[in-house]
Amino acid sequence: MERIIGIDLGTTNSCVAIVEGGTPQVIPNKGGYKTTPSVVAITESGRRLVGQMAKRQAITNARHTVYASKRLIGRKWNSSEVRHCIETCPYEIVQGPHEDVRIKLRDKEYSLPEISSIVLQEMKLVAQEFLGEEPTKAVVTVPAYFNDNQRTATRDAGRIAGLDIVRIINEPTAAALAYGFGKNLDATVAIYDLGGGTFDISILDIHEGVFDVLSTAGDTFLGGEDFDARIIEHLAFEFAREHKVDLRKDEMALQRLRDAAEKAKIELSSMPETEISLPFIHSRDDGEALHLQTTLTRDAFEELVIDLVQRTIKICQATLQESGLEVDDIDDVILVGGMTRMPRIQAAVRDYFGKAPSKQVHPDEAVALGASVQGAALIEGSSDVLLLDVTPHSLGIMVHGGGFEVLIEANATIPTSHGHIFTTVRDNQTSVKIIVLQGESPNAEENEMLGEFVLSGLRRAPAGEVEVEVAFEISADGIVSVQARDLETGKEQSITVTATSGLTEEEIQNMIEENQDYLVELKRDEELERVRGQIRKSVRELEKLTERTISNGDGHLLEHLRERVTRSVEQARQALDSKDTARLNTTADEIQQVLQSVKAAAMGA
Amino acid sequence: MSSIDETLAPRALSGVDFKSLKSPLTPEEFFVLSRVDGSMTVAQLCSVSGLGRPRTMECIESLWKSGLIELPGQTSPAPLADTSSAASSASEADQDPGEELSEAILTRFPVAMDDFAFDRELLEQSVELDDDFKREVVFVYAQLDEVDYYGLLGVSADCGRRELRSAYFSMSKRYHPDRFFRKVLGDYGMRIEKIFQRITRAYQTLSNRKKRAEYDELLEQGRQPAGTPVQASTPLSQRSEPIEEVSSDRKREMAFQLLVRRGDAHLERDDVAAALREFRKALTLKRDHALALRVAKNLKESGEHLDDAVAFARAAHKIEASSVDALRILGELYIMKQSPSDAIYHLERALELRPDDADILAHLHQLRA
Repeated sequence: MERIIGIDLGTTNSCVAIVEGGTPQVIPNKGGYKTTPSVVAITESGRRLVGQMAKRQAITNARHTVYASKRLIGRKWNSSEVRHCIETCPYEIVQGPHEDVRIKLRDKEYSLPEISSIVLQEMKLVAQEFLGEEPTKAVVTVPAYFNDNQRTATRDAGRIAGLDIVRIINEPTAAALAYGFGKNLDATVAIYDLGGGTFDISILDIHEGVFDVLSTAGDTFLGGEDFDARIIEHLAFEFAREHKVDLRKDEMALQRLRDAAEKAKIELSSMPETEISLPFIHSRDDGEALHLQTTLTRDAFEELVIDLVQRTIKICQATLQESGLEVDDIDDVILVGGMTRMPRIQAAVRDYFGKAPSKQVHPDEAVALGASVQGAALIEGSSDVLLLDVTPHSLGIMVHGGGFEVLIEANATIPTSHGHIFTTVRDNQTSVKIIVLQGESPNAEENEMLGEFVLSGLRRAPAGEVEVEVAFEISADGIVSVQARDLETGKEQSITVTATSGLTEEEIQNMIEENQDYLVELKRDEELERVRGQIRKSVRELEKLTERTISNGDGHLLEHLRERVTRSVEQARQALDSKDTARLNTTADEIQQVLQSVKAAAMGA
Repeated sequence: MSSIDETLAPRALSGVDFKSLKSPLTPEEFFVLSRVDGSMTVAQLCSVSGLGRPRTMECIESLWKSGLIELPGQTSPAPLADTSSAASSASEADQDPGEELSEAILTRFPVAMDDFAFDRELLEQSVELDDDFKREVVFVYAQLDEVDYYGLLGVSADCGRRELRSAYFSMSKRYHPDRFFRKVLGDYGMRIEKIFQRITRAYQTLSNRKKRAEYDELLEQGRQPAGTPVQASTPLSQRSEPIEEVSSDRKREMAFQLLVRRGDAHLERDDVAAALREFRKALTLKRDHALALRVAKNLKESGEHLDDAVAFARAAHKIEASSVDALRILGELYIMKQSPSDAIYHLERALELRPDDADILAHLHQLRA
């Protein structure tokens, strides 16, 4: 039976896991690390770099290195989040053809699903090494508060990477699965998930292997990156005060600041203070070199970010209220995400929930583990684990006057469906336009638009007399479909809401092809490089052997071969630049033969 | 005469303490029990037992009645009072919890499994589900509207949150679509999903104090004797407001009932057009055969609005293809509309379903003459 891998596609790091012999386990990458940085870069020569490699060269290639792209995925060009990223990111963010966002790396504009697909592909490769076969199906996690457009964009990323994302589940839910798997729990738990880019809180009821999500909420723009940004701001501000230079305008300096900030933040989780030392961070026009040298204490850091911490607690409060529970009803609080290592955050959570948070799950690995648990549960159809997931946002349509009428409330268990009856607004109105929206604002405009369609052919009648039923349905896969029906004639019109990832189907198909081409090319390049290595090795061996034979005074033995050796070495050197596989292979064979002849001749001595 | 379906494959229940049985087994019964392997059908057992069919059937029946074997799909004959409590709890532990649940679920509905008219075609659909479960899904789905939320979940009216949760969770494990991930489900997929959605709604309503109180009130109203005056003017929609949601939290069923009452009220005032409008809306909410038929009959008797009558009769026929009444009324309506060929067509089909119906025969006789 085909297995399903679980992938935590994180803002800063990604992780892949599989259930092996009934136990979920994280698959380490080639470097032996259990997580891989979600960083993608394009080198000057046009090569793609992913993960640790990409992260390492970020300083020298800042403009063409993408990190935290998850913050942009599925977002519209004119959203405030995108504005914010344009201001703070060193890579170039440009407008795409469908109000979407693209990132310009070297000469090419990449869509966000493409960038994510590169990370997914890397995770797929990590799993492939381990499994010994190509995994084609995956459960991928997203922040609970991702809307449909963001989820669709993530699905598209999977398609481009050649992965069938059989299910998208919410990160905190996945963490709960990892926490409760095989434990026979009977508890109400809160999952506090503060990752690199997003914050989520989910409350689950766990009993007899059923994981029932009671409510979930979050902020898709609140995470470790924001904590880093506060440190960067602080350092840049101090530096500017002293030297009158804004380091944030210097791309290289900014990248170094970014690394230093992340490092300092991590160190402050275990130490009361940390040294930040960035020598030669900037040189003045007159050539004077400037250094950044300072100490950051934990207290100072906490002061810088205390409002961020408080924001997460506010969201916890709201969620608890929404689910109709009291703090005392929560049996366990589970911390997930790298940021929860910060002592101030642990303290804030403890203060709010009135109990020490559980440390039973690994904050970086739990999400991927949970995704693999869900993958196994789906494919086995066993009754050990059942996830009752919810839709995180309210779904509805725009009504007269720009209002938003909710049909499916946030936190409804999926699959679900619901219908309402609406009436016409104008006399003799013969058609209605159904605009499908997602969000919590009573104003339609402030919510995310998922799609629209028209139901026409209504009977001409005074306003309010013709009634139309609009029914929403969300499948277990999270796919939304909407149906409108004229209650008089029974005439129907329906759509499956294909939330816009910002890409058209044609574009996705092109990207899938392009990606396959890239992989083929990559494979060919690797093959060429292998043959070149062979040629180089043969040439070296040939030269050494010739030299030794001559120095031994047996040069005459090779006399008859001399011309052939010179010619083939010359040919081999020229062939090394070639990209022609056939030519390289012939050359490799040729030089190998010459080498054999020389060996034989030398042996004759 | 034996009531046992010979195509069923009996299964032996494990963990039964034979010593505690009130009436000890005969060696023959023991022998038959030893042949039961869960895959052989009753008919097959008869042919392999060497005891002959009648004697084997007797043995199987007695084993079944003493609770030593079960016949999947056939409801248990009696509580297993003969086995000691220790034995029965052991058997519970060993038994597949799904089986037990299945039996508990199947007894929640007004129509019993044995009396339920299964749609053969549906049961024969080739899907990746076992036959017992197919029957269960068809059976439960068809009767979703026949039980209230308490009945559906199998809980008492005063049950607490934990009891509710336990009932809902175990049913979820049975009907959540994820259990059938990427399986070929044909017409069963939609049914399973609807069952899950209904139990979810039931759980969410009953586990929320406010919603539960509202629901209880609705139930109370529903139990009022028919004919209780219902304000026909109760507006389903606030007509004064432009585009407004109408049925908000009300159950579809309640909306249906209200529409029917509104229609009836219009009929009383002889406003047939308005009444028909309400009935049509009601039918799009719920494909109710009885309503469609009643309206068609009503119109036929009044002798007016024959086209509408035909439409309603057609709807009734469409909802229940095997409805003789719908076909008969259609035939009669076509007679009234003086289109004999249509009339004959429908009456002949009605006759196929009920070959000795005097009325239909008379009509046809007249038409052919």
